[in-house]
Amino acid sequence: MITHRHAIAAMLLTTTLPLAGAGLTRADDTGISGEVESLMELSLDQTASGRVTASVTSTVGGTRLQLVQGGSVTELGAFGGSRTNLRRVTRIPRTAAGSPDATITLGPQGP
Amino acid sequence: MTLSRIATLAGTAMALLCAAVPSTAAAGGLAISPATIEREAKPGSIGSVRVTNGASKTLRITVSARPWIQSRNGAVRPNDTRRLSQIKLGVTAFTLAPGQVRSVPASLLSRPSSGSLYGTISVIGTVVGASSSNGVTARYRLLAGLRLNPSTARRSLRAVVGSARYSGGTTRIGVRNAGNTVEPISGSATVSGPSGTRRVSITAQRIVPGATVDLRLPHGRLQAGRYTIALRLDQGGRRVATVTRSVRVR
Repeated sequence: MITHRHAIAAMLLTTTLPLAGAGLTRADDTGISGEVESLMELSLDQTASGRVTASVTSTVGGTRLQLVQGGSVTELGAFGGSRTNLRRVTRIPRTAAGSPDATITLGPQGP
Repeated sequence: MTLSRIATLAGTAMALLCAAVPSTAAAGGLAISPATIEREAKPGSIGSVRVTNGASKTLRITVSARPWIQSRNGAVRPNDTRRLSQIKLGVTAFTLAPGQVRSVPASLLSRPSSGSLYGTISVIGTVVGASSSNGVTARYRLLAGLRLNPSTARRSLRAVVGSARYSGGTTRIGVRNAGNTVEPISGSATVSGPSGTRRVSITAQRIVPGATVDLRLPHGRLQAGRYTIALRLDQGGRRVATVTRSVRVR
């Protein structure tokens, strides 16, 4: 027999599940008329020591991640097809004052 | 079971679920959509790029349209010394607070003389007021592909095949895209010589009009000697090259 207490418990559980799962849809992007648009997302987590964790979501077939600093390019990873939650860690070296900032670049492998 | 116990169990369940599911809101970054704009090269609106700041800090955003530079291995990078002057962007610099979204409309000012235009819409995000103890701050850069293709009537499919080079167990043949579309170029080759006859398929490769890319023949190690390569290339459903090349393996 379903009691008043059971109903409250069910309500509490059904409201917590969507809140916990809301973040999982972030990588999706739905456009007009139900089409799914392509998406690229880059997250950077930098520590005081210069270590950078780059997290990537890309629905483009064939993507490349690079660290560009001054005239130097470091390949961090290339992947074909769609990827979500791909992570790469790199360290940006200590530079003299006035040196250009480092850029983490996410883009297609080909034109 | 008391109501307080039910509430305790529900709260525990919620905490466990949140711990198991990564909080992408906290881990979000700079996002663009669509990641590729592709349409016919006609003057007028070509669409918008939607820029989202999912990071926890305010970002200063700069947007520009750049042509591609393509390396011999096929990889592209933006030409930061030039802009695509025929592309007009509705806004090129703005600030996005955490969670904010802004669309950048783009338009083609005039029909390209070649019939097509390929490049990237570059979106750079810099943390406002950032300071790092080691003097370096990482910036974001996202490159959306821009493909403005020729009309069917103006489409030109043409490939110019260079010489073949063998090194490190691989034969590479330079192919220049003398047409005006980035439709993939693929094909096959027959390699004949001291190691016998091998037939290989060539992985499809998009080449920027005017650029040269080395296509690799996956034939495996070859014995020393001279080899003849019969190469066939296709693009857009048409045969664009039928050539013979020779290469010496030392």
